[in-house]
Amino acid sequence: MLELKGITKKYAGVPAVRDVSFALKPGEITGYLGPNGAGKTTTIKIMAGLLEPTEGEVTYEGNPIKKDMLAYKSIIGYVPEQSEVYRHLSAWDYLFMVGRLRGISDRLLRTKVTALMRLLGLSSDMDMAMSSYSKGMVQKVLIASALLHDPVVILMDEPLSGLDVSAALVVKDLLVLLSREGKIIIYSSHILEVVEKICSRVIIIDKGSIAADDSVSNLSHLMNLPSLGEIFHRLVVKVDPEITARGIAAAIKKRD
Amino acid sequence: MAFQSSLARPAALEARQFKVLTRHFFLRLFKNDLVDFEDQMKERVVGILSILAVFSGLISYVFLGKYEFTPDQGQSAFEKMLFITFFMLVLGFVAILEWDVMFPDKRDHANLNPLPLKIRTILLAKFTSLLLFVGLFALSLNILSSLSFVLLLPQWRSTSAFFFIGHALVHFLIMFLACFFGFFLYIVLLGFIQVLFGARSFAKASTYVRSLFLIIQAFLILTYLRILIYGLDNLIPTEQLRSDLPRLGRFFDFFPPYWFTDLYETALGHPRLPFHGQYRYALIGLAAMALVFALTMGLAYGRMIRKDDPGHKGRLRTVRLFWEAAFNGLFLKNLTQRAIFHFFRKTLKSSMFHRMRLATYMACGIALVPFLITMRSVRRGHLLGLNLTLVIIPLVLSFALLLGLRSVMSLPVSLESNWVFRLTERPKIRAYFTGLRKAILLMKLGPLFVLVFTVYAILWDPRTSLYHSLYGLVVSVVVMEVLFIHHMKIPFACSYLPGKEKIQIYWLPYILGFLAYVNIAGRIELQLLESPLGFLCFFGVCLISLAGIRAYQVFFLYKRNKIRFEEEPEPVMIDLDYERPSHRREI
Repeated sequence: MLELKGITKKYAGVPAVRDVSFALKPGEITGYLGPNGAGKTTTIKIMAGLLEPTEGEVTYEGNPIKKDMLAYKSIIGYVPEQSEVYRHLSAWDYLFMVGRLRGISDRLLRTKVTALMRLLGLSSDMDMAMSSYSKGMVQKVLIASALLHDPVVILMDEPLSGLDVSAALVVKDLLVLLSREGKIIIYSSHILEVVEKICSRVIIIDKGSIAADDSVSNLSHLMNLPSLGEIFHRLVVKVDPEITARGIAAAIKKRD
Repeated sequence: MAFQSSLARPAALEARQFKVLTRHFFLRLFKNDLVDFEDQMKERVVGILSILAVFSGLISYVFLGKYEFTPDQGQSAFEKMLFITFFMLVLGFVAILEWDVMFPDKRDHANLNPLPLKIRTILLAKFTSLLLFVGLFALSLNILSSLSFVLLLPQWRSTSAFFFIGHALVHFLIMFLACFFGFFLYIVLLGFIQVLFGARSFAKASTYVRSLFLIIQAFLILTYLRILIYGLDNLIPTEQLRSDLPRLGRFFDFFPPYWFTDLYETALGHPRLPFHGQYRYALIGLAAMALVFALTMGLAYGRMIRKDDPGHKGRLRTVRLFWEAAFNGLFLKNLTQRAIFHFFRKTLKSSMFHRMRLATYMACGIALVPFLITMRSVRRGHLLGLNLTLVIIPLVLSFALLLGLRSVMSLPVSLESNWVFRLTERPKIRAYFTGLRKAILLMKLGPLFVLVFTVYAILWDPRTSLYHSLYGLVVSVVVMEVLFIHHMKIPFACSYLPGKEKIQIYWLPYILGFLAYVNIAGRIELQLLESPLGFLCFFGVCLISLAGIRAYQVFFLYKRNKIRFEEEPEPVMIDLDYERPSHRREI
């Protein structure tokens, strides 16, 4: 079990995440939702060990992760929100580098990378520098690199960003399969339909604090709302989208 | 309608676009793939321009100070020529540094093409930004130096105030034109090669062409500094030069600073140069350069619009993979070492920025070779024999290479992507640094000394060449260990804070240290070459030193430290630890 206990993260004294606590269980896909700037990416980076919380701690199987950070990092797979990869490398070179750094032998890597590239539709482009890749192609490489070592904990920050419809369907089915294998999965996204479909539990964060934490069906029942979209809207969205849209349209039309 | 109103004033709109684009292109000259002044752009630019102003002011007085008391009877033409050469060298060097952003590139094309801009506006703005850029440098070079020219020289020709003012105007104009010529000479060459080869072939050859120009430029600058320090007599006896001037006429036909000197003298109305008439070359050169520049820029941009570079796919993949597997099995059994080795190799192969930085260091090293040879410290007829000059050349090259690598590896390739190293960190950090050392040794030092062996085997004999190359390699490995002893970073993956080397403070000790290193190492080698058995003792001492360094790293350094991903800033206040009594200080 991966547990966050009273996590607070401040940037230059300004809190991005305030007193966030939850536990992620094996075999569960947890959807992590929130508007832009709510603190989703910060939380996930803390869970990946890339950021140090200002207060609180993250534990895995009861042990604080910072006690043996290297051992913890070896069991997690992380897909970052931004497509931050070494774009001067080819997908093949990048995945080999990540695999070698994770201690996977070249022979096994060759098998894994070849298969993953083929399955993700990147075989013909895998020797080209990623600087020439589209956003979706880079995203596929990131997903492959996160899963290459068969991690126990999977942290995904907007994993479907830029993916085409078929690749997105593959990733969704893959996550369901992996959760059945007992992996701990947290899935941060803005696409509520996907979260509603694949996540057994949803955590909604707003302005750094948790606004809701339950299964979609329970939330729906409790709030008497039919969909996750409406629940999200009721809990988080404070402005009327229609009024905002009208405001934008009016601003565009302004002249000298 | 708004659409119509925006079309109603196309000239005003185009003028505004031109202004915005000129500013954008001008700023990109200070922030591009090779030159990046980051957030302190203004301060740094002002700093560099001030240094140039002071330096040129100083050498103008060195050259012309004597005319305070000695009449100028035409001999100042030599000093003018030397000074024009200096301006052209500086601007030529700047041109090579700014190579990447001389013509509108793919990035410009991608950003500007969707906008309602005429190609004419883009190209004109680019040209204007370059003119402003050169103008800025020309101004800083002239601001102090012109005082010597304007105050010391006219008095010997005329006492008229009009002549004095005219002299000042002529001086400024000619110096500015010389600066433009020095800058655009390389740019036109660049454009010419680009148009000739096409964008894709040029992209591959660009580094080599640029490195070649850098080597030429660095050699010329070093030679110029030599003239400055030792006088022109040290290179060519001045008396001989003056008496043989008619014979040297053909040389001046191809020497642009002379053209501009002639233009200078002609504009003053009293040409005194023996080859008067070369000023025409200056005028023709300037006109031709403007024309060729406009044409090549237009052609290069036109080509970019017509076709997108499709990139290239890996060829002979199976063969490459086979060799890579064999190489890895032989030299890189550890997986972490393997990852770091290939990351180093591929980054240097594909990052233009890093490659060019390294090429700059190497160009300085290579330029020192002809410089050392022309220093004539070797007796005539003995240049190819066993002598100190020839012995130290590989040491100079390897030192330039190692220093370049040390500097280049500190610069991140894509800092935001280093999370992948943080996330995959392994407990045995020694493997990261061993991988790095293997990469330097096998990818850089090894090939360099194979080349050294081949060249010296032709010059001397294979056996002496083998001793010489082995000596150079072993000494370079020791230097590498010393340079990288506290380097706790994954190459290209740590943040970089400029100025930590404190070159502005320590440049003199660094130069003296380098001179001492090559001299001592060279002299030791000359001694050892006389009695090859001594090599065994020397290699033994080197091995013990290397083992000592390695033991310090493995048993102390790597156990107490982590891999550094963030460069630590210099402390705001340096604590001298005065408050604690000395007997209580911890050792």
